[in-house]
Amino acid sequence: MKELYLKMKDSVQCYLELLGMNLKSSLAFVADVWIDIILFAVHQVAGLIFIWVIFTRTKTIGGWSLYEMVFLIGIQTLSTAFYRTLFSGLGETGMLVIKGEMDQLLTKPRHPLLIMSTRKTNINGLGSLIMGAALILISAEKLELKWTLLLFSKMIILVLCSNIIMISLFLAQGVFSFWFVRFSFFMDSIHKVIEYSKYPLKIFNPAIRSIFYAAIPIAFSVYVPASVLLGKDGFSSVWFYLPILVCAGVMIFSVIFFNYGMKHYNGAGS
Amino acid sequence: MMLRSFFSFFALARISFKESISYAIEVWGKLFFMILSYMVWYYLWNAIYNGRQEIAGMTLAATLTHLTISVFVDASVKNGPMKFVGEAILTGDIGKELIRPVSFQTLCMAQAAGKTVSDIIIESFPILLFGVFFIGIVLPGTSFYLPFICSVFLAFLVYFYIEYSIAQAVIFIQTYSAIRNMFMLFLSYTSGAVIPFPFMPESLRFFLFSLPFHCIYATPINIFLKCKLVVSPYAKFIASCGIPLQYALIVEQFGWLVILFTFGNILWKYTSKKIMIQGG
Repeated sequence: MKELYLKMKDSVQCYLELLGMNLKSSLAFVADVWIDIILFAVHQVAGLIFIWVIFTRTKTIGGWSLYEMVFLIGIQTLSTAFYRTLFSGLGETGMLVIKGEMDQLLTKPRHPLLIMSTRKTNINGLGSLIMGAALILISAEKLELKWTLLLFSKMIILVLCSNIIMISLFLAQGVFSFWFVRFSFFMDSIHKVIEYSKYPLKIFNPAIRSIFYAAIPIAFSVYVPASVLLGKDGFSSVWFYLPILVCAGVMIFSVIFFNYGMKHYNGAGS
Repeated sequence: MMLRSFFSFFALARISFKESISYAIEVWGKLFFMILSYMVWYYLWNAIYNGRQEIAGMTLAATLTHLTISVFVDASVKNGPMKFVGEAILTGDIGKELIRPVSFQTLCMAQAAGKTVSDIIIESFPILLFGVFFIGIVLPGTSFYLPFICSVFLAFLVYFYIEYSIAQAVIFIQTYSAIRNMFMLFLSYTSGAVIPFPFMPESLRFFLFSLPFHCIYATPINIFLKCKLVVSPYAKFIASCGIPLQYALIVEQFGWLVILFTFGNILWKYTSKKIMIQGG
């Protein structure tokens, strides 16, 4: 037990040190950091403008009002905060394989997951936290949502699960590169799917919904948590436990899948 | 000399084309997610219309045609030179590229053209066919096909020269991914690709018509929709000289292309002198 604790402590220390080093090196490109921050702000505003323009022409989308949609977007923004801030290196597995850098990474005396997680740090990911929280607070105010301790705790737990699901998805998508080498389109596609998760899923047909619920279970990261918190679309409080279960399942699956993929990694052929 | 450049261009474009279709799984995956993306928008617009006949003067059928052509145009134009130029500058490969016996601009254009041809085959046409057979999009009359094809071609060139100009900023700020993402995002909301122009408020529309971005998406889409959507004051002015509206839109696109081509080349003359390659 003590050995496990020491191992864990050592890994966390290593993770923090590598993260710090990466943060320093990313800050060397000041323009990149600033452009990234502005990009994030523009992205959020653009997404909101789209919703606003649409709502000048309609009252609801799939039974969701403007501020319910803003709440949904708030959850979506929060759900990517941890990935963007701390784990965005996991999304670059494909590039590592293509460039042959994966081999170099495997020679390091740590688990590849640890090294990969710390390869990229985005300070602007903190913007997701601030922006997401602001959107939720503004929409909750307009929707006259009463903040009880229970509701607040539920939201924190669901947002944590959302983040873990997102990180796990980004981890799992990269594993395909071990077999197919150039699979970067999948990463772009995941980003698109995340973008689409800000709409109420009940507007889609069953085939598309099944993709969002099962193949790329982004529904449990955004739509289900938002629906549970707002009590929309028949999601009563009983459904609160489902994202937690899915989160545990997806996380375990993605780690096992990664380790399995590593065993089949052959390099990029050069 | 011209002929040699022409052959070099085709040889380079062919390599770029082959490279972009070399991974079958990527080709099929792209197509799958393209259709998924298209269907998401299809259901979203259906939910927005929610049984109403029309919104902002556009029927659901017209909006779905707008969506289909937007996806078609997107796949046909989006391969700008930003990534190629950016990586060449950041890795120092620009030195190697500059000593080739073809101009750097030709090289960038060939890269973009090769990828675009593959995207038209893999993405644009399948989406158009999907739209025609499964969604029932409204096809324009035969008099609009030629202007539409010309318009998509000009849209490709307008997009190319905008990206070519912006890409040169990498020489000074040493990063391209953030600029590229920002540009793509800005473009998607200002060009009529995501939100049809009739949905936008008058003042915003007026501002956007004074930028070249609408020539990339809104113009070809409008031609496909038999010019039933709002057009810029410039196109209206050209049409008032007796030119059919679809051709007036093409003239406007061509005008923007000349401006962007001139600007991109003047800029290159200046920026290419500022290139510094680490260690060489």
